[in-house]
Amino acid sequence: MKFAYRRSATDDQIIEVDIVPVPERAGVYRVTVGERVFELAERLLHHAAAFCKEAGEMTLQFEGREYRLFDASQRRRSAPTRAGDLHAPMAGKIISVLVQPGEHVKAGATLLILEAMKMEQQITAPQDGVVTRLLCHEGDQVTAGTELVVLEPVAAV
Amino acid sequence: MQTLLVANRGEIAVRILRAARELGLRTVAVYSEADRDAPHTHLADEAYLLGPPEPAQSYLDSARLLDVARASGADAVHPGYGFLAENAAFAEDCRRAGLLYVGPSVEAIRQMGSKILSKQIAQRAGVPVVPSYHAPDAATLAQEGPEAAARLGYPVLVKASAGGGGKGMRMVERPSDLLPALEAGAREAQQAFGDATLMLEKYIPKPRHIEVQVLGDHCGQRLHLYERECSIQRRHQKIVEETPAPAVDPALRQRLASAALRLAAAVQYTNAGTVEFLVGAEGDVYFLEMNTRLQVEHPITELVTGIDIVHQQLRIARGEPLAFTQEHVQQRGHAIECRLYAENPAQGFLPATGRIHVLREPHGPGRRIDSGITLHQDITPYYDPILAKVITYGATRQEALQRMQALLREYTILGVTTNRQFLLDVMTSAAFAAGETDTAFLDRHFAGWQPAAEVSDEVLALAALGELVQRRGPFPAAPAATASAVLAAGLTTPWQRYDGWRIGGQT
Repeated sequence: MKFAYRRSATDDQIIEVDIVPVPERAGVYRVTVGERVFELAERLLHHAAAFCKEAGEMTLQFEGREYRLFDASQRRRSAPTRAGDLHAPMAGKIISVLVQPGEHVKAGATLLILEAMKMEQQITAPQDGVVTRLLCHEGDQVTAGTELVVLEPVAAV
Repeated sequence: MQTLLVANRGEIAVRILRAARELGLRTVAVYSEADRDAPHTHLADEAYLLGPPEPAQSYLDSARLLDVARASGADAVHPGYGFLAENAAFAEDCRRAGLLYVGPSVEAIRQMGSKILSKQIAQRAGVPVVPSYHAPDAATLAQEGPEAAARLGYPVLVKASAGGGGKGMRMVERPSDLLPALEAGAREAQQAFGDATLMLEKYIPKPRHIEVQVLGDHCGQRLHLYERECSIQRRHQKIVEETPAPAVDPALRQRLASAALRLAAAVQYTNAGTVEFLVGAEGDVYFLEMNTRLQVEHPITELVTGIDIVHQQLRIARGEPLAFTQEHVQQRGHAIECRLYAENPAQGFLPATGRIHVLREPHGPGRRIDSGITLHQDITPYYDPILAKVITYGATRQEALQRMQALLREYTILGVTTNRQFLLDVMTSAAFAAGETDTAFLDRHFAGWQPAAEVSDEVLALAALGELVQRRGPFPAAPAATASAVLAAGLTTPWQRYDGWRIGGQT
């Protein structure tokens, strides 16, 4: 059985992992990662390690540390989002929309306020621009990653 | 008192419901639509739906809560912490409806709930407060500010009178920087709170946040259960607490305790409460505020004193005198609490949501886990992100700390991002071991923290094992021959599952 993984969502490198049962040893598998071979007992997953996979994204806890890795079949994502990104950084409720379509905004201006678990998060303009589309309303519940505003950058004069 | 309504959710509702059942009370839980399957909902004798998930329409809806109290025949209400726990109007409504409110008097909640009034009462009771200067308007502040700041002694803090949360706050080290700071602070305060009024406050460098637990009964007896150190905070919210406080010697402990009891006496405090202090590097003590409710971090006090604070709250509320005196309260050993939050410490501690796919809560000697979660539960964005509190006890700080490190390593939760690994890194840091815990601890030692989990080849191998077992399905290991046959057949078994399935979950 072969699997292919990326070490991070933005990683180009794909790592192939091959896993086969060890004959006559129930619950033990030989796993080949590149040059290295591991013999792993399934039992590990009940004690030292835990595994969870959701939508191509895997999390593993092993000896107290948490790891995140990705299916190679998942499209490689662009560089991680940063503060000021116009996607919802967390699931929550839009409690305030401070701009209107067509409005010119300065870099750093607060566009929206999102609230979750008693915490407010301001969504700010990453650069000077014009709000071309507003994709949410006050009171909307949004999930993490939802695009909230489309901002057309204004070229520096 | 026969029937207790617990007007809260999560780990604290679970904690209080259990204590009430231990004392033989009938229990009533309340829940929002988001909490139908939450542990607290199923722990009580009866549970009532409050309404939609939004707190204002559920756990903050006092009229609805009083309706539930009436319908369920409850004769007492415990507010927990957060939500309506320090709301004097709710306490008054409960009492007017003939319910016992498990907490102090309405008057004490009101007096201690006011930033200004509580400080005045503290000063009258001989409890020091942080020296400050208030001006009636901006012009007076600009005129008298320099002299007032000199009186307070630099550095001083410029703060918004209306606000909290650090907005509009500036530290000024030199007289020449004062006027520009006042101008910028006023602008920020106006924007954040709609009120540009500022105040000056003496800046206390490297302060520790230390609080004293008090109990008072209705017969006039009041005593303290020693201190808790709560300096490790993010966004002004505590994440790690311990007792005894590493930097408190017996003389300082005595000063803190007697100051707390003087304040409690000044408002004839009853039930459980906590007096919070800032303690400067020189052992100078300043009153901050009093929390007129059960505190999140109450378990560490319970572990070192052996006193169940929630039991005491219920006993006091039903009119029993305290069954022990101050001499009986001993501080024995050391306890540490870490708050497990659904949040991402690598991204500004932003709250996280998701479904819990794996959960292992490892119990054992010297370990206590106050948990409000269960396997397969959805963590929603509506409430405070606290999932559970992990607490350890030891004969010494070192022993409690070793137990905490092991507990955080073993505690397993997947499916929602938590601060578990961050807490583990804090607990294994040299700075924490040395007890260097002032309120700037996280900024100084953990700013820009990243999980630093390089995915090794071994981890990739484990992932493949995880996927294989996931695809095969959650039944015990088949004999080798059968497993090979399944593999040879390309794993097309009826047990194939691709989404959201977990291995290693609690069974």
